[in-house]
Amino acid sequence: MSTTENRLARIVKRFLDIIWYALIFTAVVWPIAVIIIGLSKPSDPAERHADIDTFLSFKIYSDVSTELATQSENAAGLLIRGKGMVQLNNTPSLLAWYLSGAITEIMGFIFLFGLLQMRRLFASVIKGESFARENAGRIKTIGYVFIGWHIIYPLLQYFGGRIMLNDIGFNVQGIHLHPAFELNVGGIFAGFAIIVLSGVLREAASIHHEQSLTV
Amino acid sequence: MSRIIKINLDLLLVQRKMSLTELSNIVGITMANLSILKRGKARAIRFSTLVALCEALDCEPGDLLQLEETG
Repeated sequence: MSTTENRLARIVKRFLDIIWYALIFTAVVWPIAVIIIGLSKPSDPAERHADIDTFLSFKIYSDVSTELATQSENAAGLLIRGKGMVQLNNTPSLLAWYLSGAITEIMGFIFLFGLLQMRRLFASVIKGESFARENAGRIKTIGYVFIGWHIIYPLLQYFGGRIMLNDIGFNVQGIHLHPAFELNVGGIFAGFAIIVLSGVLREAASIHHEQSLTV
Repeated sequence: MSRIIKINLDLLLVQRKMSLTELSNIVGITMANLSILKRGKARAIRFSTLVALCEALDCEPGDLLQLEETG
């Protein structure tokens, strides 16, 4: 590896280290902060202002009753429909708040695990051990983390959204909310591609090992 | 039962009254690599290495390499 690449690897490693320690700190502080903020929220839902971002699908109807709206899309005067991040504000209970905090914490741990592999990988590259067998395993794990992230996150969003909507109600004054599920196929595909590439590195590591024992 | 190639480096060094360090200096192979050869850990040997060793030890490749049965 050239000096420039090695310097670049050091910069990236330092950057990963900063993110790593910041996230470790956040992972520890986050649940405590969620609980403290949750406990300090006003008991009156109208004053809660929880601001919980949730991925939901929504349908907005014209001046028809919500009951009608749920029966048939066309008959109920559907104005807007779509999927996106919806900010839940004055929820009747704090379940949505705690659930959203828990989802963030779970995804944070998955991200941290991937980041740990990245840090180890770069540390190894900096030491000049790019073709270590362990690196192939690390890249493979990063691939699995990638796939896991793109499957687990939509599932948590879906089931989390479902629980939250059960709590706050699906239909509110012409607005009909549904839990949304959106799988990022590209992300999953990228994860599989990373796993395949890890196999290439394993082969390279094996050749490198063979080469190192050729006198 | 399998067969391996054994490098008779120890024997030849004793016969030639030469140390591993001396051999390393003559053939220009690092001590680490000579140690790999000596311990039988080498997976392959280059022709150029074989020629250099044979010249330094004044022997034939056949004197250096020996087929040995294991297990």
